[in-house]
Amino acid sequence: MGPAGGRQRPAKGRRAADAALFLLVFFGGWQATALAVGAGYVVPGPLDVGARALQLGTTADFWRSVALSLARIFAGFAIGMVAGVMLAVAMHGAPRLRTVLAPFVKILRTTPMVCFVLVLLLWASNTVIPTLVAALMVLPVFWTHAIEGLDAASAAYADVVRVFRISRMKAFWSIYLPSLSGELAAAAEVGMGLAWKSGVTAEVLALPPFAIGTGVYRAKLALEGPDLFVWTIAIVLLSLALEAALRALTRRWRLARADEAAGEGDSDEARSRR
Amino acid sequence: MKLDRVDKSYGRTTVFRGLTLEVPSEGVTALVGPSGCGKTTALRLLAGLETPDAGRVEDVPDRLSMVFEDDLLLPWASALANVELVGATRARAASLLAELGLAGREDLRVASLSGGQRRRVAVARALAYPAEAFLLDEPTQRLDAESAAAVLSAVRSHAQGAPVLIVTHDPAVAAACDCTMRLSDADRPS
Repeated sequence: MGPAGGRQRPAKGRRAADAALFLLVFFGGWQATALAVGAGYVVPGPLDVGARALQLGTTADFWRSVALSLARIFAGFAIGMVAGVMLAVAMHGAPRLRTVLAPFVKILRTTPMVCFVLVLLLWASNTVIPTLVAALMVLPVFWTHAIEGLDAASAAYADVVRVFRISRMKAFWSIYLPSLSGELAAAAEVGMGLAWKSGVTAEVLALPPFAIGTGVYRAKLALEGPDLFVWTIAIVLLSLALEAALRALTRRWRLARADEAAGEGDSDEARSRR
Repeated sequence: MKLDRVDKSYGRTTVFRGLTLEVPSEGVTALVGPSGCGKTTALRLLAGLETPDAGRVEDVPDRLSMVFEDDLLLPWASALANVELVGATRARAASLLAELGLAGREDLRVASLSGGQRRRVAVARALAYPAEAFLLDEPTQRLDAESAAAVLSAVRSHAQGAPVLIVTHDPAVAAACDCTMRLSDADRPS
């Protein structure tokens, strides 16, 4: 029996056929559009872009830009994650702090990213702006998931903590924090995509040396259609790779959560069937 | 432990009005009655987890232990860790789990246990806590007769004279208790 409510995976042959059909439609449509437009600097064909990718891919500057962008944005993601979780923990433990700080986090969540970049351009070095912007985008995501998780755990286990007189510290380390794993996995998946998109956009606006966003901006400025497409494809591929890496990292958490959800209210008979 | 002329409502739903219920100061007492008559609410009032709208809750010992209506176990933690959570040593926790038929399953995560096994972990946790009274809400729920008997035997041996109040729908469990109190639809013990 497959997982309850899960989608059936299509057969291997069917998946390969679907992938081939997707590639055919994608590249066919792209080539047809390029031929119809007839201007390589606006819509270059896939062959031109492929040739340019091979050229750029052999330069040290391309890989340096990719590595530095990854480092900056990942640093922002990590800072936002740690700050968001710590803030949630502090606010969960101190209701008055929550009353005071919650509106600030909500403001962070609703402020357009470009406003942060423009303000930060006045105050900070362009090399750190993508990191700061990614952190500011990720912080509210982790804060929201963490504080909702902490609220849910403290409500669910309030009777246990009270009857068995479990200290606040022990309840935090043994009950509340472990119960956050599923929430944090979900936050990480949302946050990583957000960090990547906001970080690259911040690079386009802040133009730090050796950055994917700077490459995008320069390609656009010089009307280098193939370069723009190569950078864009690099952004998409890196985003997919990061997402896959993160899913692999959080797999254990997600499985544990699914297991817990499946375990709730099961009969012995249902469990033994699994 | 005593509920003295207690009223309790949730919103517009009255659970009981003027309920008086006195739990014997020793032995195992069964609290029975039809579903929805307020057995769990009575237990929660005694545990201090609910506040009566009127009346008094009296003579409740300082340290109570409880099996909750839902297991309220930590699904990500092992059976052993769940019992250790209330302050039991590893050896005592393991011994209690073994007594309840969970030997060899101590290190399994609770999420991977069956409903009946989880119930026994909840019972082990309640018995591991050094309490002066035990309030057990359906401790034999989801258990077969043999496991239910093991639970009752463990309760008797570990309560060590402290009063035990067991909410149950199982006539066999009620029969095995020292006395039975019935909560009727009229919301008064008969």
